[in-house]
Amino acid sequence: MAAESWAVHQKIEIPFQYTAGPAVTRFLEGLKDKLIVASVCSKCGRRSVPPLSFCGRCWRPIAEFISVSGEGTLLSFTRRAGGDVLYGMIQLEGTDSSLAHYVTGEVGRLRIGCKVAAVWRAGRTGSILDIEGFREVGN
Amino acid sequence: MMGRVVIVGAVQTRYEPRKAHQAINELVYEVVAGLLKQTGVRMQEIDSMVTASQDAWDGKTISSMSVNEVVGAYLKSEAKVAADGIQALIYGAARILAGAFDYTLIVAHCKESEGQPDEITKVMFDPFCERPLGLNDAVAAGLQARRYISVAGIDSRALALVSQKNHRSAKRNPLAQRSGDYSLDEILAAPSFADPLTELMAGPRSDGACALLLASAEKAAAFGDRAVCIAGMGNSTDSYWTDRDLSEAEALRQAAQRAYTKAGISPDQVDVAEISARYAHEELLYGEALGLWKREELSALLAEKNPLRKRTKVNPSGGPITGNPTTVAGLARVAEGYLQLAQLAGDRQVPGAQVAVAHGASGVCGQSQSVVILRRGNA
Ligand SMILES: [Zn+2]
Repeated sequence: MAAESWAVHQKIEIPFQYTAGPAVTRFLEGLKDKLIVASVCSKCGRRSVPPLSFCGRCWRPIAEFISVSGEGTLLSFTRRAGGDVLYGMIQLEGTDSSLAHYVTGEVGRLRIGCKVAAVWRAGRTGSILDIEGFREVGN
Repeated sequence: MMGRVVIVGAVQTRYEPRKAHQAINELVYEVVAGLLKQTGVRMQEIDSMVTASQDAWDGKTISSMSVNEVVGAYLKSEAKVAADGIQALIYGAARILAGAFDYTLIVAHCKESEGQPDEITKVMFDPFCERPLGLNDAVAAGLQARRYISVAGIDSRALALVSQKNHRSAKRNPLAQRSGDYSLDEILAAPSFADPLTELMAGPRSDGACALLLASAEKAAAFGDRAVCIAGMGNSTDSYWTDRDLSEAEALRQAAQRAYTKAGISPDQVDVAEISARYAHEELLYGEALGLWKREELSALLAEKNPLRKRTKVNPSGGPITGNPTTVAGLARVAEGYLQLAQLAGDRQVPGAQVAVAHGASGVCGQSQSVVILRRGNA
């Protein structure tokens, strides 16, 4: 008997249909019309994008949704080694959370705190990818 | 002060990039058998076990099924947590404090070599707004690292200093996967991981397991100095990573406060801190939240000959940045704290250590935080 140990190669593939729920559905639907929907907690007033259906801080459901600007501030950015996209965390104007997305444009010009704006894709389908990414629009 | 539960033994495997000769159950058997040998307790005496493993990493749901037999769970009371093993330890301690069991075996395992970390950690993220972008743990770590150093007013050289210190400490830890005397330039010039993190500022992909044995106060007496008291424990969970300030670790601050209060110990009494910092910036952020230093002191503390050394020795094992798989990392911190206080830490022993703090985290950018405070002796 050989003393070595084999490795068996397999791949797990499981299709899912994730239920988006009303808050995320509003958000995805809004993207088709270049609208970014935020949630507003009626108690603490916290505005979040992507919108939440529930404020964990106040432990209460959220029923108020507003649309916010596609412009914001870059809180951070990084590139995963071997990857060809640059990721950013963006705090959209008038919101208290951050949105993770792609950052496009000249890497050398990016600074934490710089202003960025959403770049919309044509032929939007109601997906986070309806936004191509966020472009630096001023330091 | 809380009721009494003690740790009477701790065993880890060596941490290695790929343990091709051991399936998961054999890996776990190694630490369980080692623990029985170390403690002299027989499997028949242990009637409770809490394991930690994660289905996505094991490529198998109810991942504890792979290890039920080797942890001795046959017809006994076993439960699993799908988070860092430090949470299994806290759950196991509660089982003893409830008076339900004399011993509880705690085991965590992970073979990061078997799956694909970037793909597996993608599944942690929100499927609607994040997963289509390809976000994973590495990307989140890079984003948090840049955010943190910017807000803290430090640069990537500070991250390199953390890496240098830990890889140097790991030279004294025979279980460490990666160790050595790296220059700051080498660390900064290493291949990028997710900038500003380089591969030497991020823990390598790793295989390993860790087991601890918890005992009630009555049983502890027989173990003498090898019984180490769990003096305090604390947990806290924060908001999802995009809904909080990533330059802060508020959940850890609160978890630590709960643990310190229960233990009746203040941060300036801590001799050894083992921090779950897979990424260099985490050690700085988490050490602050554990009360070991203030952010304003960081630059000065990093410039010292022994960086980050006030009273507390931080990560004498080298910590997860030198190689500890997910799920195992936090439990391994408790194991290291135990070995220090039981004076079993070999070359990495901190002389005279009386109080140790062990920390573990789970979730994207450390959403859930746990702290365990250990005190020498079983009183
Ligand atoms: Zn609220």
